[in-house]
Amino acid sequence: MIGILDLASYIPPDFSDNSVRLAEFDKSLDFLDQKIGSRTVSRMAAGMETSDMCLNALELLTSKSSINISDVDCIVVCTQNPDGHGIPHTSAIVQAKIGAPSTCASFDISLGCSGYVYGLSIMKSFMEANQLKNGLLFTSDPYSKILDPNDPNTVLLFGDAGTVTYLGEANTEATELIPESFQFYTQGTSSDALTNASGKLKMNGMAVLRFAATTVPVQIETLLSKSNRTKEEIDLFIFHQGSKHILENLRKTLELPDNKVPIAISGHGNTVSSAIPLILENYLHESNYHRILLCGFGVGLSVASCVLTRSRL
Amino acid sequence: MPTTKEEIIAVLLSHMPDHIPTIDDYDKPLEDYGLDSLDTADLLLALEEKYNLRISDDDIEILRSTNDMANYAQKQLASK
Repeated sequence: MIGILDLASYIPPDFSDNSVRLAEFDKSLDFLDQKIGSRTVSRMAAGMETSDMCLNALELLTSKSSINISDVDCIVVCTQNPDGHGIPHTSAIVQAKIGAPSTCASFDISLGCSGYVYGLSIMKSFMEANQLKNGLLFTSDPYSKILDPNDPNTVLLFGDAGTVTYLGEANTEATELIPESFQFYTQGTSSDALTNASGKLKMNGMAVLRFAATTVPVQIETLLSKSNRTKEEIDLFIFHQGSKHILENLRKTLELPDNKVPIAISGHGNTVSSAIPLILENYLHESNYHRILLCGFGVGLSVASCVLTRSRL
Repeated sequence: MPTTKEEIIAVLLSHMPDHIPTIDDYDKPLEDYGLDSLDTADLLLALEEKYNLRISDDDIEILRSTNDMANYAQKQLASK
């Protein structure tokens, strides 16, 4: 069985300050604080590539974890904004840059906000099926590559970040959380709500809000039923950090207490598939959090959720 | 019994954000009361869920006052 051993996240030091564009977009500071949840959004440095954010995340991981790169046998990069034009796949570039063995399996997953949860399921299954023991799941989806600087719906919301999750054998002292009970949902009929149209991101905010508000609660209830758990038995609900507005809407609809639904979008914005692991890193080694529910939702439109159970209960 | 406009307005008023002043002019654009685009989206979502409607993207742009939204919903319901 495969579990999560460690996790590290990289937020670029460069930021775009949304508060200087309020008059231009006819928005208020209150809108940034209360609806989006952040006055700034992080930006990958000019000249950096998607794989570079992966490397920066890995550098942070190796500074605190016992991972040995020569033991890595699986690399997956979740991104829809790969290096260059997507050929070769970014995970192959990462494999070369970090010096992982040539025996390492490397592939990309083309998913957005639901990508981290999908990634956990795919990697866990792939590694278990192929007896692999040391996997790195990267999320790195710099939307700054495709943002329209004149579109307030997107340029004020999305930020860049990269994360890496170290997956390995579940029966070791180092194992923290084991992913279980996955639930997936796809609504391709609404796929035009979030598109890359001629190199620029286009988002129908109402359609995405409608999807999040109506579909995500149903998926959460379905997952809980499937895993024979109640809301009370879950110690933490880590939702995709779409916006503060969506998170508060979900918390209210699901009747969850504030302390179980972290809102951590401030400073960097919506970082797509990196949003969930950015928060998970803060709780990974907190043993009093026995069960953590993850739910990613967005582009597709797509929802993926799972329950993580503490390895040593 | 058909849904009245007053009932629809009551639904809208019950979903108004807590921090805004009392809506006393149903023809006044809601942005003049301090509602932003996300607040408006929430109101329209509430109508969709309550009355099983689907408000098109084009129509969202023109629904700016309480009466705009209530008239729209009533028209949609009448055509069902």
